[in-house]
Amino acid sequence: MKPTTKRVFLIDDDEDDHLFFGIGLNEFDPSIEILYDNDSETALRRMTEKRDPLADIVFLDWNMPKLSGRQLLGAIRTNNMYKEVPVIVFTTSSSYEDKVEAQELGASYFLSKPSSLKELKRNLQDIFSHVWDDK
Amino acid sequence: MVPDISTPPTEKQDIEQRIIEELRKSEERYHKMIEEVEDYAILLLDKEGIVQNWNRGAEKIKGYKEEEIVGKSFRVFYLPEDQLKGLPDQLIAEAAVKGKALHEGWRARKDGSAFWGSVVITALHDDQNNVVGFSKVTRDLTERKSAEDKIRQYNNELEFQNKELEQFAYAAAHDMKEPLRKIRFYTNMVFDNAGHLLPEKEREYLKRTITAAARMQVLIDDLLTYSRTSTIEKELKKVDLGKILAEIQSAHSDTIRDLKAKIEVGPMPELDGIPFQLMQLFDNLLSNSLKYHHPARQPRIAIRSEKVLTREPGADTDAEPREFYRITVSDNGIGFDAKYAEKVFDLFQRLHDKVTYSGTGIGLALCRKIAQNHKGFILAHSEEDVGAIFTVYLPVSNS
Repeated sequence: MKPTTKRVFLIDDDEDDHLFFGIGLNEFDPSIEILYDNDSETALRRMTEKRDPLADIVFLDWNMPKLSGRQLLGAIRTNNMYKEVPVIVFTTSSSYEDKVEAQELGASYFLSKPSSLKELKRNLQDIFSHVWDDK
Repeated sequence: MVPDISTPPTEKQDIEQRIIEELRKSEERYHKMIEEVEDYAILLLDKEGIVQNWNRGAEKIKGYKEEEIVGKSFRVFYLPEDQLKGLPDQLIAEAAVKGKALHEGWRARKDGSAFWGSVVITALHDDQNNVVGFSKVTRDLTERKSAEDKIRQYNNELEFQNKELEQFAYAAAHDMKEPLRKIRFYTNMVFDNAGHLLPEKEREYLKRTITAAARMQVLIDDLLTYSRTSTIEKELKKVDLGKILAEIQSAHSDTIRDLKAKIEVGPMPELDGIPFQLMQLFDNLLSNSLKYHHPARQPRIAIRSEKVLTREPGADTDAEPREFYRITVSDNGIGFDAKYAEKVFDLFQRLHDKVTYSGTGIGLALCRKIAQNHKGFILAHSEEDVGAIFTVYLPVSNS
C-alpha cells in the first residue's frame, strides 16, 4: 500500500545539492517528504533493510565516491522491491554516453542538474507529471 | 642400343670435355658471385642445419670466418632465448614442409652483439623430391629496424601526450562545471528572491554576473563536447546521412519556420561513421547557416552529396587518391572574408562580436575534429555578404 504522503529519496554526496533540491521540491509541493543520504553505501542499506520501498521515487547522483550512481542503479534495479519505483539520475553530466548508459541500466529519467531554482521546479514538474500521472 | 655413328669417338670426347669445362667455369663464376656478395649472407645448410659454405656477406653480417663456422650448426646465429624456444628448428621444419620459411627478428653475431635479420630459408630437393638441405639468405636490416622503432616510439609518445592533454582538458572542464553551476544557482536565487531590494546599479551588476556565468557554462559544455569527441573511440556503424539531416531539421523546425528558411537536401549516402558525431557535425553546420543568415533575404540552404576521387589538400602528391563523399552545405547568408577560410576551424576562433552573435568559437573546430576522426576533412569557402559553403569529405570506405 502506498503511503499517503509521497516520499522522495535523494542520494547525493553534495550538500549544496541537498539544499537546492530541498528548496526546489518544497516550493514545488510542500507536502512531499524528502529523505537524504550523502553516502551511497548507507543509502543502499537503508533502501533494502525494510520490506517496503523506502521512497516513491529515487533521485540518484551519478558521480559519487564508494558506490557510483551506475553501480547503485544496477543494484536497485536488480532488487524486486524497486522494480516499479522510478529512479531519476540527477547529475552534473550532460553527456550523451552517460544518458545512454543510465537508460540501459534502467533509469526512468536523466536530469542534468539545473542552474536555477526556476529550472529545477520546471524539471520537477516535468518528471512528476510523467512518473506519477502515468500510473 | 644404336651406336652413334654421326661423330667420331675422339671428337665426341672433345665435345664432352668442353661441356664439362664450361660447366665447371659456370659453377665457379656462380660460386664467385655468391662469395663476393657483401650485403647478403648466402649459405648452404645440410638437412640437419649444418653450415656447408660461407660467403663474404655472411662474414660481414655474422662476424665468423669461413673456417670458424663451416661444419657447425646454424643455430648459433640465433639468440639464446630463441634457441631455447626452438626457433631455428621450427624455421627449417617449416621450409621443409612449405618449401620456404620467412622470418624477421634479432640474431646474434659472433661477438655477442645483435642485429635485426630478415631471413629466407628455402628447401633444396633431390630428383626424388627428398629434402637434402637448405639455402639461407639473410639481410642485416638493423638500421631500418631502428629507424622504424624510433618513429614508432615517437608516435607512441605523441599519442600518449595527446591523450593526456585531452584527458586533462576533459577533467578540468568537468570539474569546473560543478562549482560554476552552484555559482549560477546561488546568484540566480539571490536575484530572484532579493533582486528587487538591490539598488538599480547593483542589480545590474548581479545580472551581468549571471549572464557571464551562463556564458561560461556554454563554453565549458562546448569544451567538454570537443575533448570528448576524441577521447572516446567508438566502433563505426552504418549511418544514414539522410535520416540524420531530417532529424536535425526537425530539431531546428522552430527557427526554420521563424526565418522562413528554405532548406533543400539532395540524395544522401549511407556511410560508416559514429552517428552521434556526424549528427553533431551537420547540426553545427546547419545551425551556423541559420544563425548567420542575411537579414535582407530569405535564408536558402542547400545540402548535396556526391562521390569524388581525391586526396586531402596538403597531402603528398604521390599519396593515393581515395573515394570520398563530398557533402556541401551552402547558404546565402552573411558569409565571411575568404581570408578566414582556414582560421574559422581554429579552436576559440570567432569572427563576430558577442553581442551580435553568441557563440564560443568551438563549433567549427569540433566539425573539423569529427571529420578527422572519420579520416576525412572539411573545407570552407565564402564571400562576404554572399554566403558560405562548407564542404565535408568523408571516406566512402572507412575500413
